[in-house]
Amino acid sequence: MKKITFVVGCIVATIHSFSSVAKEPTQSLSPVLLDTKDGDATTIGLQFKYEGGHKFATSNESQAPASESTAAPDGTPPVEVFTDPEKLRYVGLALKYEISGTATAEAENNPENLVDAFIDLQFKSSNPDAFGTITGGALVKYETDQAFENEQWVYGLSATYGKDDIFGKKGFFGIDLGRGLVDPTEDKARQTALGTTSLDKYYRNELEILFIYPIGEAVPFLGKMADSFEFNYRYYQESGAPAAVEAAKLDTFFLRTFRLNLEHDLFIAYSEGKLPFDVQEDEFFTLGFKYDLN
Amino acid sequence: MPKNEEVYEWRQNNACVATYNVLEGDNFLDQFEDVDIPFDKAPDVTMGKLRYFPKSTSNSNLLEVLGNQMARKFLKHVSKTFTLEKQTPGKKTADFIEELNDVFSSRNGTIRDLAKILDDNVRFPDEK
Repeated sequence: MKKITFVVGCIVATIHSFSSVAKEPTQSLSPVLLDTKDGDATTIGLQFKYEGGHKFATSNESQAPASESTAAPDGTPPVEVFTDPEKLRYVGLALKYEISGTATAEAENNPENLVDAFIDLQFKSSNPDAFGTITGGALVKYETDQAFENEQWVYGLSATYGKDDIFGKKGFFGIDLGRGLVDPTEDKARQTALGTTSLDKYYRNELEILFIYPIGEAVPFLGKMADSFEFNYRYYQESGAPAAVEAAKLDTFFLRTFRLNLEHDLFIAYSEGKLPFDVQEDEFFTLGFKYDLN
Repeated sequence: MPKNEEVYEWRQNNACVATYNVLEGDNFLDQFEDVDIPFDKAPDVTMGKLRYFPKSTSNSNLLEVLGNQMARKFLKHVSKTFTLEKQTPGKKTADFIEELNDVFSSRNGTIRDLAKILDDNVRFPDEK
């Protein structure tokens, strides 16, 4: 007990030594038009997100001596200058929460039928240009579908790396890796595959890759029409899945999206795959525009 | 932004002009064209409308690292035009970057929010 108290005390003392920044809660709603290849018709969707949190950071910069923070004898105001951001390296902790997903008029036609809510405690290392930004941490996540017919909890760890200017001073590449213990409260497809209503916990690996490139600059004739090209890949794989789950193709899920962002908030996207809780793999085009609320 | 907080006035001061020029300039972040978003119409433009912001995912971990990279680049370009004198002695660069990071990571963050953070943290020549 004393050891636990000591460890908690050290963590609190460490966090207390960091300076903090509150992240105000924000929300957004974006209407989209989703076309499922195997569905009956096109359906209208609404992408939503609510998030907030708190950050604590400490850096390798030294605080200015106290004498520099007081006025000079001739009354000249004190001057302190921020450390050169190109040389600064710092670490931080963040506590975040979020709810996000896509809702459609008809849930069965929703190709992105995964809603999640999580609380995440994260470590961040922010480095000068060449090294990029790294985050890692522990999270508790609740996943469900739009109709709340399937739901599960995930307890896991994640690590994320992101780097800008990867090709000729252009483009962003990011990768997010995670491994978590999934506790399925209700998963109808899995229950059917296993022939039981009592589901065991299992481990799941997650991967998400994001690549963005300002294609309008790279391909001059597209310059007036296209702003950027995006590739997004999401992958979920169950570790040591039972044969029945593998046979039902419920052990692996992926969704890859190619998207061209056009002028005037228009876009064309092509996606292929399925997310957890989806039984059927889809190929679908998305056409839409964006509208943000706050 | 908290409901009770006064809206930052977008005007022709160093903070707003620097924010606009760094975001728009071809040699800086090149996030939009001035013919599409002139200076007067820029303050309420959200990050979600800029070129760097991903539309295919809402993964907050990826948005966080992307926002951090953008915040660092933004400040780097501002620092090439102005000496980054602190408005508040003792304030750390890391906190400054994290404030910018929050805006760059948020679909609803605005150009006005960036200018306000810049003005709050940096003492520009027009404030001396």
